[in-house]
Amino acid sequence: MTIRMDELGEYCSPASLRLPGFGGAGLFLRTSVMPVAAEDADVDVAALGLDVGLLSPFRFVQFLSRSATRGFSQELSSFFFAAADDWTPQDSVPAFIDPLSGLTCRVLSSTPVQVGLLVELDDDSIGDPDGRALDFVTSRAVLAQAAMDARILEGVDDDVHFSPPAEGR
Amino acid sequence: MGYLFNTFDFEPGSRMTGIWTARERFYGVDQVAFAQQIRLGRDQDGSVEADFLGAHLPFHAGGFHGVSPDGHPWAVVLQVAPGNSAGSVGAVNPYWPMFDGMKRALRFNAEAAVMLERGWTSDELLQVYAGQGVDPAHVDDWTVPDLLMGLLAECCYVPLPDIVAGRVIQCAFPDVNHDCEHDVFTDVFARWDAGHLKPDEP
Repeated sequence: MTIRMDELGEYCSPASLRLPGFGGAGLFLRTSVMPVAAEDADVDVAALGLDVGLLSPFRFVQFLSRSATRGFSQELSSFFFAAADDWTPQDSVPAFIDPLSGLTCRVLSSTPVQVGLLVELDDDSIGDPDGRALDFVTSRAVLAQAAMDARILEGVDDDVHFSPPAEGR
Repeated sequence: MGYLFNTFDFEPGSRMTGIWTARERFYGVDQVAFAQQIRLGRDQDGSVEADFLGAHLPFHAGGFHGVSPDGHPWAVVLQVAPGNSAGSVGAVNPYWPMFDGMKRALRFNAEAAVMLERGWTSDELLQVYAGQGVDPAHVDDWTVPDLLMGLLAECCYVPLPDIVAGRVIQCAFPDVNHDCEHDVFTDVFARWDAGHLKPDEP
């Protein structure tokens, strides 16, 4: 298959997720592919990479090129969907934890239309613990959308293609 | 419909689904007002996105959001800034800080885009009030944030002359039994939030 580089840019969009909240808070995730050192390579020659952004009106902290567990996006999608759907998700929905990337999401509170989340990143390189945690409220509608968007992070929906979409698609 | 509805290019059948004001109102001399119509992403939640945007705008004053007939969400975001603040970064246009504030906020929402924008000086707002049937002499002591809040309150289907009259007694509905907020603008917004204000039947 011959791929023109300008076509690659046009048809292959970044696999990213944006989860906005009230008060200007937001969680940003973006996956990538990272090389694996020869001595670490078993079967895989490439690892799943994850960029994490934690946004508030006065701070935007980004953590780049963290290794992530394959299949994490499915679990994250399930977490977001359950948080959007359950009546009291703070009681019923287990926290999402990806040990490899250190990303943790848990439900703190809820109302019939809103859900409070705590997103944390296990990273000792940031001295200030507040810099690696984000506590915010969003709507159940936003969480339902994030549940769908999370599936894109590992191409689950197979919407990355290297040729122009067929007419009518 | 209110002046702000008529100023922006809404498709027929668009409807307002929410209205909000900033927690703080900034006062000062020679202020200018700025409004931008934002087209939000197809599946985005207007109430969350409007609040998200506002939180990232230093001169945020309030706004309203809604949906187009095709279900596409939109927001109109209002800002007020001192007219001389652009000089801090060497800009000449007095609206630059608010224009730039939105550009900066939209970095965090790639799906949203500015469709139209409009700015007013205090004198221009007084002309707007005159066009809406208000004697400018009745509002010539209003600040720019006050004048902008009046136009925002008008979006709740309350005639602007009634809002101006209500400002004197700080009650927007003197003939209606209600829990008065003792601030004419807050009174209108509270009653709209409670679902009591509707457009006139055609």
